[in-house]
Amino acid sequence: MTPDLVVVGAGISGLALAREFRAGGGRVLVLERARGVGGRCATRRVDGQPVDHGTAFLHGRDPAFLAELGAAAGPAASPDWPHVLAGPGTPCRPAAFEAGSVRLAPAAGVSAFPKHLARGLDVRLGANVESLRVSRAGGGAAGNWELALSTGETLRSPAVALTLPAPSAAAMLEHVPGRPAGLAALLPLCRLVRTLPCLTVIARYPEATPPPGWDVVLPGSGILHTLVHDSAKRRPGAQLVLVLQANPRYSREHLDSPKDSWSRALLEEAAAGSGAWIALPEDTQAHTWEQARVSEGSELARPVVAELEGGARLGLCGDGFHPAGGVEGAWHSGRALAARFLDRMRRAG
Amino acid sequence: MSLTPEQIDAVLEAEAGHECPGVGEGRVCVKIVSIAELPSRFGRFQVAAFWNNRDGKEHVAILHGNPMGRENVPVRVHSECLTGDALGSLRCDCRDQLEAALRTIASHEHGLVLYLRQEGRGIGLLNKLRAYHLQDRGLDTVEANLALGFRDDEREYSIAAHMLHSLKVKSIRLLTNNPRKVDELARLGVKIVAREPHILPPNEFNRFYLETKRDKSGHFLDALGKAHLPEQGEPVQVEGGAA
Repeated sequence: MTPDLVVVGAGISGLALAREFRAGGGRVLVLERARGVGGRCATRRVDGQPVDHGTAFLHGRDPAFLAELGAAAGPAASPDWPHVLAGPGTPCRPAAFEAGSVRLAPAAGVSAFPKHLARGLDVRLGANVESLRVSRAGGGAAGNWELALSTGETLRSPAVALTLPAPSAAAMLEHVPGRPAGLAALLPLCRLVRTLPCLTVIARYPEATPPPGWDVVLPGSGILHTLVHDSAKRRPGAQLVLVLQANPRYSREHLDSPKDSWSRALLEEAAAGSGAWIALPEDTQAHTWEQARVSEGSELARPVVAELEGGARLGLCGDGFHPAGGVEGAWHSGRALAARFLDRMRRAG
Repeated sequence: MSLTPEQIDAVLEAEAGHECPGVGEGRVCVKIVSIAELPSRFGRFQVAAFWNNRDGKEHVAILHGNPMGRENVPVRVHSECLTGDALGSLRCDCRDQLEAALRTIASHEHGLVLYLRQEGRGIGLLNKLRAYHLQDRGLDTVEANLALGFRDDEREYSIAAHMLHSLKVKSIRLLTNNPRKVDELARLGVKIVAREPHILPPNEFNRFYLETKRDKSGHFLDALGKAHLPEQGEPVQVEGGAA
């Protein structure tokens, strides 16, 4: 079967796009480079216990989005988490704490949401798209995309959606052979969306460690942006786990430094501000988010569609393509892109 | 004669208790919360400040004479443009349009300029400047403008329609070169007895700009037929030039 649409990236926007597109009667295939869905809405298991090392909790205000979140999170979720916020700093998305915003932390981890969205979809994990080109096979037939996977396989589709962070999407488009005019125009647009890196440390503490009195600390100065008491979201008896996230500037400057050095620096700063015990974890893991989030205010208003000569269509969506940004913005932008693709498909017959 | 202090007090008291289901699809409701004297270089005006139920944008109406309860009031609807109105930018003709409108209403016994605080057709100043930035790099497409948030003017017209209603204007002569503005306001219940061309006096600096703009074929199309950024300005009619 040739899909009507290939979605590159199984993050929130890609999954929301695929789900909505399929609900509208389209055939869709999702390709994901990683071993799991969700992108930055990420949960990993540490000693069997879920740890959210990307997005710390989910939040939103739109009723349709909240209904979807509720369906995904199930009953075992902490509503209004985080309950106890310490420190003078500003959260990544201040809107999460404004009136009218609902916050939610699933006990199974934030990846419960993308897993819910992916249910029933044709998602291929570990599928890395190496190159993208437009072919006009069949002489005069409608143009088609050709996606070359690292496995050597080639997929074809009349429409492709890149749901990667905008700068990554731009980098991919830059390498499309022949640089079709319709694509070149998207590059400066993608570059308006600014992404920020985030160095992240997961720290697990000995059983006897008493739980801290906060859920999230926002120091507001220094190199640490957010200190999350991750295990507060889990069922009683969970082992104490903290997630430390560095501020964008420090993260940018240390992207290429050894993980041990910045992990230690973050733990020591957290210990100095929030309790000496933090410097002595049982073990740690480090993760580098090169494009953790979109700088607030640099989001575009809606997803983008380009129609190339010959009819091949390209769409871009993600948290940088909706003014709400974050997980909610990503979800909306995916659905909005689905509506535009479906509309064009119907008009094209 | 402008509004007397007693008339102003009566309007403000009535407006304080105003409630309505709202105008247009967005159910926009506005209320006059203050009216003050505004002597200006274009004439003696009064300015009315409006609260609205949709956002924190503070729209104003500039009044000449007392248009309340009157027919055939000359009205200009102007959308805020910081770069044009205040900074004198030549990327658009907003300031020329605003000045011409203020002069026009000052020359009539009664008249109104509705000054809508909707920078860049509602996209905001930041996105308008991002669009300029893309134009500077040679990118000026419908898709880019959509992605930056340029949108339909529906809300702008709803607010203008409600402001006219709050000011109890019975019918208007709309100063515009844009037939769509007439249609949209009429659809929202505004009685328009005439559309008057909004004619700008050219000067040595803007004559070329205005004439070029006038000579371009369509509202949002440039000379090559390529869609371009929908600036706030409208099709232009220049004094002494063929329309």
